[in-house]
Amino acid sequence: MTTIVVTGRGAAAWMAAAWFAHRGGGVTVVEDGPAAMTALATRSSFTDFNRAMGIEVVGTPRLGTLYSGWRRDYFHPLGSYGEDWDGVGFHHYWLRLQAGDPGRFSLETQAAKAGRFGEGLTHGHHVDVVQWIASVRCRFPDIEIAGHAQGDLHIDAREPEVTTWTEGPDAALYTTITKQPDGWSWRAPMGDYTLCGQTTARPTFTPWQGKTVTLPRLEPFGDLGLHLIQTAIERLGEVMPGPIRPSIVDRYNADMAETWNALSDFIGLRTGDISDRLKSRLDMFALAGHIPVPHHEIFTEADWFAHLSGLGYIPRAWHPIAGLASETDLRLRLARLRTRIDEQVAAL
Amino acid sequence: MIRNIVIVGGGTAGWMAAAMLSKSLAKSLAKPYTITLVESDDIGTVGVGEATIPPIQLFNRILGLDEAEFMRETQATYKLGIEFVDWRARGHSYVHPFGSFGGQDVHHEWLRWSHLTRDEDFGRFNAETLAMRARRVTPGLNYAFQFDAGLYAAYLRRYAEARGVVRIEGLIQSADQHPDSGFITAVRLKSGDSVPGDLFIDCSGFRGLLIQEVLKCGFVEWTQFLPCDRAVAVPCESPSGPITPYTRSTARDAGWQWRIPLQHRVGNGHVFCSGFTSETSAIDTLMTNLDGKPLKDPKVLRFVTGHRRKVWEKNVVAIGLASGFLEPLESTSIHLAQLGITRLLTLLPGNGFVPAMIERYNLEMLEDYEATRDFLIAHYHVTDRDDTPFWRHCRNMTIPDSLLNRLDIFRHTGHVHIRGGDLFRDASWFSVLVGQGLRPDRWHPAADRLSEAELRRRMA
Ligand SMILES: Cc1cc2nc3c(=O)[nH]c(=O)nc-3n(C[C@H](O)[C@H](O)[C@H](O)COP(=O)(O)OP(=O)(O)OC[C@H]3O[C@@H](n4cnc5c(N)ncnc54)[C@H](O)[C@@H]3O)c2cc1C
Repeated sequence: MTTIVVTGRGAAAWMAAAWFAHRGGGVTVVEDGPAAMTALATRSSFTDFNRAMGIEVVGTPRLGTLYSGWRRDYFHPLGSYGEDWDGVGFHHYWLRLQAGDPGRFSLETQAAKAGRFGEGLTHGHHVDVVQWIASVRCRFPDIEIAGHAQGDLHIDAREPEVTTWTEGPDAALYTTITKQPDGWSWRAPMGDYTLCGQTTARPTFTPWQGKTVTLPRLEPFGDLGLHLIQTAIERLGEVMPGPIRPSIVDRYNADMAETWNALSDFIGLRTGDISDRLKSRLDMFALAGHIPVPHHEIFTEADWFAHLSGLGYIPRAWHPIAGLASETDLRLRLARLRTRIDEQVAAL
Repeated sequence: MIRNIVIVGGGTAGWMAAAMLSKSLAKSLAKPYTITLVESDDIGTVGVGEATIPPIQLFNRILGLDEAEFMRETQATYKLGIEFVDWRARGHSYVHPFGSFGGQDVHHEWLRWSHLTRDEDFGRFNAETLAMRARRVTPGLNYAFQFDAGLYAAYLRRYAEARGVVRIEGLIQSADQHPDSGFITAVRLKSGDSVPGDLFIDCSGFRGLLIQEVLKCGFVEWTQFLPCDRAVAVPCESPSGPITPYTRSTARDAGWQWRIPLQHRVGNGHVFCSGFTSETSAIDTLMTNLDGKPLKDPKVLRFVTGHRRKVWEKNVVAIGLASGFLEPLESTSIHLAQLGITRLLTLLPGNGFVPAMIERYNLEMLEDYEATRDFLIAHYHVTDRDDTPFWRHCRNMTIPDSLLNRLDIFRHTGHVHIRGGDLFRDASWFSVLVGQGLRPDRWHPAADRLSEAELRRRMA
């Protein structure tokens, strides 16, 4: 059997270990590196990831992230906005009607605002990492822990150092990320307490070399970073365990670089590090409301729209197809969406 | 400000563009605006192109076409996939269906199963394949259409003219360009008339009247990967019995033959490589392999596989054959035209030309061309056939790195690597690669977790 050695102490390491134990490899975890984050902010993809392995994610429900202290405060919900019609994203219709706060068309945003949670919401969790690792070890008792080990594939999943502290309980159904002079801080309501942290780290992407794959670092991206790590692990798991071939390494590196760039742009939007790629993206949005979702991007139109609209970017034109329905008809459709969301929230 | 749009060419691509633009720009262009289509009776259309892939449904839906009416008007039949006969070896056949086999985990499980039992039939995990075998189209299946492209263009012409598109019959002889920007300002007809415009959509067919003859965008040729360069086409009478809801592609000594059943006839054609067979013998092969009486004389077409270096340059966007050509092995041309049109709508700001948008458009179109190219090459390159010089050439030719990479990953992991923008997804690649005889040397160890009894139960 192929043996896989994962280095790290936290969620990233145990996600990789679990996934490969699940996919059929002999896994050893070497607990090395700085103390890991003790809480995770997850998206629904993390729940799916765990479910595929037979693990139930336990934590406080999470409907999105409140970004505070940037040009304005805005909410990035999990889930989507309104509905796509005729293959054209909802934001074009929203734009055409100048329909006000886009959050009105997001079920998760409204539920988070109302402080209500229940069935039918796209959600992740705030997860206690220690508890979650315990459930992984219970599910996969064969994963070994060793001081050091040699394997066919090494996964470096060490996390950067972070400063964290705890505060009193908070009932919020979301993570809060607040701008700071040299980075940002975050708050994750954990039930009995709130875990807070502060980060200035600016990690870079390390390609797969030889026998060693270095996973992207968890911070400073919060749930986005976790999503990226999970994507990396899933991509690895499609072709590993097995012999390492140049074709596999090349492909993984090319795909991850692309995804990494997209994520950097996503963050750059907020921090003002506008790359040429991001600049052209902003042009497309400004002039035609277009949000390209290129190859191997892990974020959706809705994710981008939450940040773009949140930061105050408003396009000058919408997609021509969104211009076809009569205004009355469209107003009616949007009103129906709002009503449906209000009813759903009231029923929670 | 874009107010006057000129479409050059009235083939399938031109009328698809005219229909979609007249429908979708009705509300968003500043008024008054015009959409004009110029076509020449002297030149005519390419006159072939009958099979499509499922996204055509979305195109028709946005136009608001009624499916029953559309099918009646174009003599359309349903298509659930393609049967490939003699491609892997003489006497062998497999199906590339629309729809999936249940995901990549099932692929791996089947690879293990097939290793144990020599089972060759993965088609039974796909609903469309089963329906093709039964020759019955039932609701809920993935489908596309086979239709008479000439009738489709005529149908869309009525649609577009009813929405204000002005058709001009005339031969374009030259174009006027802005002295500084090089933007085209008008096309001049043989009659002496000129047709001015702000945006020109070049649907003039292979020659690329504006994109190439005027703007000299250049051409990236792919003949070294896809050597076929001619086709001969002929319709014939339908045989009696139920219509087969699929296209058939039969490998020939120096190319392959299509069979596309429509309501009123069967379309046939032989795509071949002039380096390996003569036109006369290619025609012979076609005419001796028809299911019914020919309805016309066979028509020979010459083509060069590849694409324009840029498909959008200045104020000219090339769509259809003017943008490039990939042989009809997977019925992708009309689809690429459709993509060109819908993408134009997405990236065309009403108020002018934006470099970021033009760049994006070129990038995305060329990615589609390349991804489709690789898929087509795989059909030729992955084969056991070595019985003619043509097939030996295809087996031994150099293939693009992108395909080499994908084949290597599949061969050694059983995993179909899919990129985000790939038109053909894992089920398509799996059916063609395995169908063509590429059997990976391993499957994912995850498929070993099932006990043999459990595997048997799932595969039975
Ligand atoms: C052998 C073969 C088989 C094919 N099979 C399929 C298939 O199964 N499925 C599929 O999707 N596609 C298929 N295609 C492709 C399909 O035929 C084309 O994509 C489709 O017909 C669009 O063609 P077009 O409109 O771009 O060009 P054309 O049909 O060539 O139209 C060109 C137009 O430009 C006009 N024009 C040209 N020059 C001038 C001028 N100087 N002045 C005025 N007008 C001018 C002509 O009058 C004509 O109207 C096939 C192609 C070939 C060659």
